[in-house]
Amino acid sequence: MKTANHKDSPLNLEGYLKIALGQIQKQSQNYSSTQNARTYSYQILIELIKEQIANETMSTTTSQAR
Amino acid sequence: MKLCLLQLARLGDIFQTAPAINAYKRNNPDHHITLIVRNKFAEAAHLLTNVDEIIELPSAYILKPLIQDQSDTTTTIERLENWLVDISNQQFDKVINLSFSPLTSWITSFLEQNANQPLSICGYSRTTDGYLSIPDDMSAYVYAQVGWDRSNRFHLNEIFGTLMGVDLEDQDWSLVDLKPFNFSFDFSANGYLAIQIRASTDEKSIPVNKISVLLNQLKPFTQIPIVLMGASSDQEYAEQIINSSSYPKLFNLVGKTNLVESAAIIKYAALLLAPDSSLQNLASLTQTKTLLVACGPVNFWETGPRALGSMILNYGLPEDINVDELTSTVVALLNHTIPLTPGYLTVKGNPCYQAHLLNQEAPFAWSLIRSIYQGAELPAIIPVQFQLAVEKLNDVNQFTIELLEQIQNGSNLNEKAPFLERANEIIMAIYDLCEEVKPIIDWFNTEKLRIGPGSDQDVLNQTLKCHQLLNELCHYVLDHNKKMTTANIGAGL
Repeated sequence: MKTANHKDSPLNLEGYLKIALGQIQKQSQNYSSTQNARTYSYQILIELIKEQIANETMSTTTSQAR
Repeated sequence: MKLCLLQLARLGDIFQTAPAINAYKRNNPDHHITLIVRNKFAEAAHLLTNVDEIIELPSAYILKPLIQDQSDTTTTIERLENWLVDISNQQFDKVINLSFSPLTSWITSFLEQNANQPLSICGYSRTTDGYLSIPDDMSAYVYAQVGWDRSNRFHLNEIFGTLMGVDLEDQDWSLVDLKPFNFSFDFSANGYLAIQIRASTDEKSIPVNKISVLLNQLKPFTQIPIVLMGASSDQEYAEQIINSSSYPKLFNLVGKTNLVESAAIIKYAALLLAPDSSLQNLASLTQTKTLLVACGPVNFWETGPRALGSMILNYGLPEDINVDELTSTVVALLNHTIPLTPGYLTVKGNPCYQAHLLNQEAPFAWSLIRSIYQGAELPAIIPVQFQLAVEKLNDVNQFTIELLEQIQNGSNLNEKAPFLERANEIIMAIYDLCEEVKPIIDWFNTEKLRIGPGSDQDVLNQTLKCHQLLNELCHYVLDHNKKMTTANIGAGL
């Protein structure tokens, strides 16, 4: 598998993460009907990527899961 | 007892967690405390005194396989699961989630679901069907009332303390021992003024041109050395300040110190001048007097300085910052006199700030929050628009209670559902129309959200209970107003 240097790629870091997020959200639907460890992994990964895309680790008072 | 604390927010949040950790360890010296932080901010965790173990979340390592033309999801998932399983294998007795993010709620839930022994949970988690779970009252309060756009006046230090089940004492604002920073120049016996030149965003920062003007205006009043502090990315701003200032003893350490050195500089400063930032939170732990210039999306009541003698000047926007006020306040604080500028002084107690040369009366929304959560009396005078909003809220709530009771007595849920949805829409319309009523509806919606998965009957009963509580609250407000109106008429007669 070819590994790209994201700095040289036409896609920036955010672009790669957005593509990966779409793929992972699709894959996670396979696990949404049953609560197993993999469901949690996907949800944690989705939230981790969303935070990275926002390029911001939120502070306590702005990261509310509202 | 093995306690796991999740603090996956930022540097300042890690510092604000410290007093609660110190208080917990003071009360439970034998308990083992593990703190989970992002590896990006782990340096801050190493400054805390009473953490037995630090676990880092290696976000970049986990996500790296995704940063290529063909995303390698499998490796990323493997890395994440290895990290999660390692934590789970530590067999904690209790997990306290001190961040309030979707990410940490899922991590907490993972630990809960995969525990091999009974595990106590505090803070955001997930229900068995994946919805947000808010198991404790403090987290429910945070969900409903805390944030820069809300009216909460309890400081995060105390909120974290409550989540950890401890009362804070003065001694809990402390860090590891720090030796004075080895400056390459001599400072006078009176110390120095440290200035953090930037916050994390423009909207929270003091504009650099205003800092330059401040330095020039300080010159006739003081000769104290001034140390500029900040991140490497702030260096160009530091250059701008230096180039436009004629202050004689100005030292630029922006981007030249690590976190430990920054902490040492702040500890031995006579005063820190800062926007809302991590260094400002750190100064509370070194008990360094601080002048916080709060502007933009900041609720200083939640994140402001805690060292006694500190002060807050609160402005709406960076351009509103008044440099004359800033200058006179810095001079007064350096001279240990009370500034003649309107602001907020750090005091003991909770809330921990006192209006200074400003209206002392608390805003109605804060009084209402205290009434809802602490049973405090409502103010004698209730805003008219609030009174009208509560009347409407009461009407629609009564209607909802009747519908729910009909369902309880056998009416078809599907037939009633559109009416219930409409009632909910009206409640949210009231929310949008009346600022003052928001704490009530935020509280109510949070309580409804806390209803977990269950049988139709269970969910119905709990929903009805929420509406009955809202009914009690509405009647309390309306009766209070009636009583006060009668009292006022009586006083007039």
